[in-house]
Amino acid sequence: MFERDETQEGAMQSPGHYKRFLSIIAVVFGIGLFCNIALSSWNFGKLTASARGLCSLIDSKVVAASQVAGPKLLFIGGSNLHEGLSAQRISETIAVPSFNFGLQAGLGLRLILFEAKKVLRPGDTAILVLEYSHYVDDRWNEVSSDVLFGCGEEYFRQMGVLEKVEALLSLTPFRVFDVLAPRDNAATQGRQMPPDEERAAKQRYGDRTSSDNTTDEATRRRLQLYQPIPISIKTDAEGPRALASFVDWARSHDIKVAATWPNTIYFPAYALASGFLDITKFYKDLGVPVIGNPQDAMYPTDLFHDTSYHLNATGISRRTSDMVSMIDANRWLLPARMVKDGKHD
Amino acid sequence: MLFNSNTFLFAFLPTVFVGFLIITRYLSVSYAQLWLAAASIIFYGWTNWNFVPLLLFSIAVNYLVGRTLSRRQSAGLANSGVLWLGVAFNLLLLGYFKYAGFLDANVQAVTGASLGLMGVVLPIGISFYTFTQIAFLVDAAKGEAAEYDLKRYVLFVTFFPHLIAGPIIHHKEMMPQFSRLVPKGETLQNLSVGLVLLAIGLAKKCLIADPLGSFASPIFARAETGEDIHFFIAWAGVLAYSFQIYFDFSGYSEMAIGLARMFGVKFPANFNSPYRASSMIEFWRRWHMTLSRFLRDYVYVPLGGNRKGALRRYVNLMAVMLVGGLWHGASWTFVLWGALHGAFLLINHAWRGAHAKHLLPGSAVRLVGRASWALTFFAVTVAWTTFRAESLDGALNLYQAMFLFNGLSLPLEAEQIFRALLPEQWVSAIHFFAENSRQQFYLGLIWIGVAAAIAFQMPNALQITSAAAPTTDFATVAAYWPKSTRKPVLAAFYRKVPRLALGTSGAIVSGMLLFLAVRAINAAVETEFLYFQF
Repeated sequence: MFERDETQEGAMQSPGHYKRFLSIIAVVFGIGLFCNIALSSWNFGKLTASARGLCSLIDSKVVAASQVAGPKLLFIGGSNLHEGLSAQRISETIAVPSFNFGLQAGLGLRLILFEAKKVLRPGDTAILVLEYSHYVDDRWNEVSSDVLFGCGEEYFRQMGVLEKVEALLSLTPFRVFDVLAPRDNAATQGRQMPPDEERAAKQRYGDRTSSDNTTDEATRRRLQLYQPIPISIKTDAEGPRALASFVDWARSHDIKVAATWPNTIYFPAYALASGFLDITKFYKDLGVPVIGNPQDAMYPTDLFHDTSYHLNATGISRRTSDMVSMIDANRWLLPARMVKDGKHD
Repeated sequence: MLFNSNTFLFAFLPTVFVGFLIITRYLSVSYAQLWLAAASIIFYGWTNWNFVPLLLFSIAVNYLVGRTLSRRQSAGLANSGVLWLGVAFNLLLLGYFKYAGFLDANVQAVTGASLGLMGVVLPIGISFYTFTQIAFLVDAAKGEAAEYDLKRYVLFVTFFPHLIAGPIIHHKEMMPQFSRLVPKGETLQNLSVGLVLLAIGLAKKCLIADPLGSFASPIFARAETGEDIHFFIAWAGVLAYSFQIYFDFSGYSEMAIGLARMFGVKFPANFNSPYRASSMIEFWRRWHMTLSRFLRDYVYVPLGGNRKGALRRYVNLMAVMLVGGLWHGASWTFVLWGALHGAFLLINHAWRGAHAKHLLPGSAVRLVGRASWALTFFAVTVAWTTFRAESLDGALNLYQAMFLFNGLSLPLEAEQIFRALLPEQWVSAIHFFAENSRQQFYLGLIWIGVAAAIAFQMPNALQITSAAAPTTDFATVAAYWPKSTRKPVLAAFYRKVPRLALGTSGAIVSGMLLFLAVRAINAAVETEFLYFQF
């Protein structure tokens, strides 16, 4: 069936045929590229349901964190932080302005750190509480691309040419459909919202505003059957590279940087994971102190409410107490002026 | 430089190709050879110039030894001593850069003392260019490598489509082609066929192999740390890797064949739908075919092949597979992988021998015959576990899970179905698990299914471009293709594909594949080809 057919090959040898063949390849490739870039350009500034939620979260946190008076502790990370820590309680307990700058891990470190830079001021302390996925890669994904096109024009403008090409090509067909046929954001539906005053207070500190603490049976079962997260680091991946550049930037702006571990479900198998040491070494090479041990931030399943990173209210309370103890044991973390003024006592 | 990079696709390749066209049109083939050789050295040194002197040194020594061998052969002088010196030089070079660290680690494990060789860095492509030149020396000693133009020899070794990860080519099949680069009137056809193969290879690498790699790698990493790996996850990871390595390496080989063809050069085939093989013997005639050819011609046959009795043949086979395993990397996992394949081949040959002598019951022959394809794929997949694992402990951890030593596990989503179908006591013996990123996990499983469907059912790149006889060994390759299929839809598709491939439909599909691959290259992390590490 597939043996070489001399007559067939002979029939293919007209130069005109191949000119046409090559032209079609070039045209199809060009059309694909043109459509992709045209669609990407058209997508800028258009919010999908999910981008609307995330963009508004970013905006509200940037605005609120910018309004914090005086040197502050800024906790930076993804949703492990947003749904894992009460900056309000930390501020009240240690009498140092603190802000929960937890966004969503899917945004990737490049976007998260770009937004964090907007609110960091000389004298501040940035505490990195990053999800483990941030240490492995930071490629454009559905979430980060969605937010980039929705409200990331400012970030896009400061990118290099090749980075811009990468970003433009990261547009997914799903986003185009979402823009053309908008859907409701299922993730925000059915969440219990606290009274307005309490919500406003939480927003001032960047803390989670919904107060869902109950988990249905099916989700509880899933949580119990979860697997350990792979722990590793690729130091040449975009995420760690963005982290290194952030540390340089912070140093040049008189901002202290420290890192600690994200809250996640405890598994005995983590005792065998060498990735924690690799991550610690990475920070050490950057000159960034790492506070506490990974196990300090690991909690039993019943303290989580939907994913292996999201604590419920009881979990947040425990994690916050642990964080306060950790800060107390590492007072050098506190903004310099606060220490001098004795405000933390 | 990677074939799957913007630098290669949009700067290096167009520049080299346009330069090549101008030179062949206005200057001479000789200048075109120089141009390609220079471009190939730049290609090799792009990411790290440190290894270029080593490559040039290896070329210089082999060229001189080869010429000496050829002259002595013409003069009727004995040349085995010179040949051994040349082969020893290559083996020492390869041994130092590839195996010194391995030797040191083993000496250290036994004696506690270090030889101080742990930091030796493996120069990219050394396994391939060393084997290519060993084959050249042996051919020269036999009088089968008669052509000794220096620039053509440099081009033969460095020609960028094959330099880093093969195919492993022969002097005698390349030099005549380099002497008459671009026969008149074939430029457009060569470019068209080359682009189709490049598009297929890029798509295999970027759209199939890379996503499968992202799925498989964390599972192998978990096994490496000694964490409990369970049945379903272990098989999912190993199957994902089995398809990843196939699509990665065959994709690379097809890109190499396509790129060479753009310059009017045909390479030998390297892959011929290996996962459709129904025996291990057949698998090795379809998988990494140029390495198999090298091992057969330059290791198995000189060891005596099958000419010294059955026992010696089995010993030779095992030795060849151990060498093949060790060639892939300096680690006991590769040795074990070679040993497993050696054992599979011995069983296969013994079975065939017993069958030929009518020693086997008919029912057993029929049963094994019907299950032969599945058995072969199963054996190959089981062996990939060792190949991919970073340590023997990691491999063992996976094997325990794959062969149910850690119990049977299934995704939580299957629980309801099993509860409806099986008695409670059976279901309670199953360990149901939930994946943290459900969407990614199921996308990964779907991708394994898609990869399997393509590998098992679709025509391969050589079949698709068969109208243009894409390789030097096309007739041999085509002999393995089915003469007919029982599935009428596929039969019609298979019949039409070669004609469609170089027609309008082929051009449209190739353009789309190139676009999708370029999109994937830019939107995702740049990944090396798996065979760059060997």
